[in-house]
Amino acid sequence: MNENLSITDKSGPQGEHGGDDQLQLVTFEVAGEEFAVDILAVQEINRMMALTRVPQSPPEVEGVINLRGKIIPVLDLRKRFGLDASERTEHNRIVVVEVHGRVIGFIVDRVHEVLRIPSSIVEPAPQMVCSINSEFIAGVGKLEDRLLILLDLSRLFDARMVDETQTSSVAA
Amino acid sequence: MSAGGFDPQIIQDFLTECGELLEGLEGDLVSLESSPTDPDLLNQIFRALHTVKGSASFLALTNLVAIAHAAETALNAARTGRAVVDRPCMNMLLQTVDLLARQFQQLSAGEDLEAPDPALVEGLTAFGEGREAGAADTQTPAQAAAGTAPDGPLGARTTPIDLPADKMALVEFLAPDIRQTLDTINDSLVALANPDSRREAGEALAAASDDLVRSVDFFEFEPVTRLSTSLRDAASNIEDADEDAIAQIRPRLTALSLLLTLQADGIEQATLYDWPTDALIERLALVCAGKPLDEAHSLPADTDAEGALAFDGVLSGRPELADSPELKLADDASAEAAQGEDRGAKRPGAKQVIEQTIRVEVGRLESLMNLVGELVLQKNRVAALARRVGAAQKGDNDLCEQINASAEDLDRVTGDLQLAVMRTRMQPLDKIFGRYPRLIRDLADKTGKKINLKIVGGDTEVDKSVIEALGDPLVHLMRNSADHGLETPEQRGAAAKSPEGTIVLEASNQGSHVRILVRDDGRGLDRARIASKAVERGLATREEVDALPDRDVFRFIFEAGFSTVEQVSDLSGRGVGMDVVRTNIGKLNGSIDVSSTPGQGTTFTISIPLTVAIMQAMMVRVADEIYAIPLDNVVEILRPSDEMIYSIGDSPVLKTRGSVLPLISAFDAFEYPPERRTETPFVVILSVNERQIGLRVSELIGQQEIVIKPLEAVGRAGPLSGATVRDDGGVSLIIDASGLIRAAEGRKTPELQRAA
Repeated sequence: MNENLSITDKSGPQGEHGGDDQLQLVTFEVAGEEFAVDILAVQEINRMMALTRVPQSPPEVEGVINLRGKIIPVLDLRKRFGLDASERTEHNRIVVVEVHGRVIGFIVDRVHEVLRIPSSIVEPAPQMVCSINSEFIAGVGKLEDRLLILLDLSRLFDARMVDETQTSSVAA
Repeated sequence: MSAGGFDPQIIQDFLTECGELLEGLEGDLVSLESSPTDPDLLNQIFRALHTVKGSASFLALTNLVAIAHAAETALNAARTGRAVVDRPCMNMLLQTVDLLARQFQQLSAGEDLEAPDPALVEGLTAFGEGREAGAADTQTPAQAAAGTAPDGPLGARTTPIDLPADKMALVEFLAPDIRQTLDTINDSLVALANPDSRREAGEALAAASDDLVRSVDFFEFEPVTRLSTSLRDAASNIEDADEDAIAQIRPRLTALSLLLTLQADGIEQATLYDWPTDALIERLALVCAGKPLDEAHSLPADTDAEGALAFDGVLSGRPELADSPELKLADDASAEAAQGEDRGAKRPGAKQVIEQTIRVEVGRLESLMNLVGELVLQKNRVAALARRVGAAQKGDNDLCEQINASAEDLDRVTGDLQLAVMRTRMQPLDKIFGRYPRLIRDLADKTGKKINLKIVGGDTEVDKSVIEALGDPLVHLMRNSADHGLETPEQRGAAAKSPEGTIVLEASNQGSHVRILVRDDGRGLDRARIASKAVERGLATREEVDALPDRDVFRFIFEAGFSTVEQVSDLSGRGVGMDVVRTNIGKLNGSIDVSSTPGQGTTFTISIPLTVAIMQAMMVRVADEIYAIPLDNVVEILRPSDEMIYSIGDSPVLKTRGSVLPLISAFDAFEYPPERRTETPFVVILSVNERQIGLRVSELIGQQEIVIKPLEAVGRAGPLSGATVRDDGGVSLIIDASGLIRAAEGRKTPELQRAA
């Protein structure tokens, strides 16, 4: 189930995290676009597993899973981006990240690879780079043959959900 | 002065140890108020303060020592019967406890300790010295005149005290400290003469002289340490001494005490005295070790302390009898032998205090508890696997039985382990109840009411996390009772009640739950006022409210922002309280209810589980999902026939055993899309605080012990109190019965309310 090993293998023999000007990223695909997050934020990547739906939860929360005894929420990145849901395939993965001390999983269409890029090729996000809200984008990496969208995980998962946690605990 | 330079661990130890003393202190003080001359209580309080002061002076916490010392002075006067703790003095003592608590916090936060209010210190000291606060300090000139002689008293050699500044600042506390201890010592010495009180006197003497050694030790005043150590060593062996030995010991001990009194005077003048006390100390040690003295070294009968001083050569500089080198050597040898024997033979049998408790970091217990939680999950999985093996295996019955037996053992051991770990986290409710007498006292003062607080069942134990989370809600309930519930003495008089109101705080075990009652005998809740407030706030219509029974009307007080008191007081009544109380208790998976009789009082009933981590649950299937329902909330499970279910208005109800319950479908409660809904032939009847509701589900799976995991990371969620991992590794959500009932009541029609 856990694919961490195969991923770190791909990062090559020099294996450590890049120096000042190197970024080590996990890249994945959602709705035909290629995204990337810093590998340090990623705890593990799992195959799809049975999710337990949580009634009355925020719409993008697909459900919760048991991650070795810990219950963590899993979000559908498509829904978070405001896109239509798609059928699950065998390529779907749950990327587990830690954002501000909270462990969250998100579903991606498929995971590509672990990539090292020089930070110099990352540029601030243009206003309309793709179909998703530019506030979630930390920058755009211009590779030779394609564009890589670097996600800002703390914006993607934090502010709104934390607010909701607070209001819900008051209302509870 | 901050405690900079000390090992943080030492400071932490100080905070833990003295923090506990401080907690006890407050309760003891309030009890003292009702029995101000209780000697045990006075001694206990005095000792606690004394220990705090002693430890603080070791850490050079001058500001803390100063206030503790002043309070100790006041208490000492009370303890020795020179004064009786009156209300003003009690107020000062309580202020002292507050200040100490603040200083502890500051110390723990690494801040400088706040200096005590000079008026408070002066007030306490004046009380202790039996004078009016602010009256001229008449002692100092007299003392100054007394000790300026170039040569010390009784022919002592004098040495000026020379200490580093931080210790010097504390020296001024030492002399009064020594004198106080000596008071006790002298009393014991008198009692020692009487064979009947000898044992007790010996114990008191040993304890007091041990105190003395510890106070003195810090300053490293060799002559003082020598005297007090000798006193202590003698005292600790005195119990076994016979009449003859006592005749030798007592005058010498009294002599030591006399010398120490002089030392205390000297210390006030920044001077140490030194006398040739070797012979005295040696002979004392010999007798106490059970070795008879040579006749030449034995005191004549009826020698007093001064006689002993002269006899043992303290005054003249030479022992009274010939002091040949041989004799001295012999003495030394036997003394050493005696001491060696003492160490070898007596210590193990003597008062050896074996430590019965250890301190453990809470974090370690938490991780232990988490591990046990994991183990319970794994145990459940093993049990499930064993069942499957049993079902599948047709041939090898033996193997199958072994697996089952092993799974059963695992189940039993895990259960015991879980119980044992839970016990380590259990604490008596007294831990928080102990704070309330003070609270009630202050409330009585502020409101001008007479309040009697009765605490029952404070030894009931609950999980540490429960204790912590209960503190605030209980404070709020008691404030509420004191402020709104109880009437003024005049109003009570007019209602033919005793002028003193009573608040009862009562805890008791109810199986896996603890029930806590907060009951007052005040005016009771005002139904009409709550009802109109509820209508005003749009919580219900007038017709609805009028149809509700009293207890349902009273429950409105738990709604957010609901306060019927027009006058917002300093104590409570801001309308932010009761809903927070309910929320906090809900977080513990507990419940709260209220009942009230006009003119007779109000009772709040809180029910909380002993532990928040593990509980028994009924697992139910709803279409393709499995939910856990806390077993405590499950009253009954039934498969109703069609005629038991009918509708009132648009709402379905269940008629069973003569009562009519609102019936909700799990599909509605948990937002199932229409295409996923299937049959729901079963009804689980849930109950919270005697409010019942029927929940329709697809199937019953069975009872299981579940480990509760928080669901917070999800953000908002339905009427759920958490999640748990099933024995097949999947996740089930735990249904919050009270949330479900509230949600259902929100949808209720007036007809239904009547039906309920």
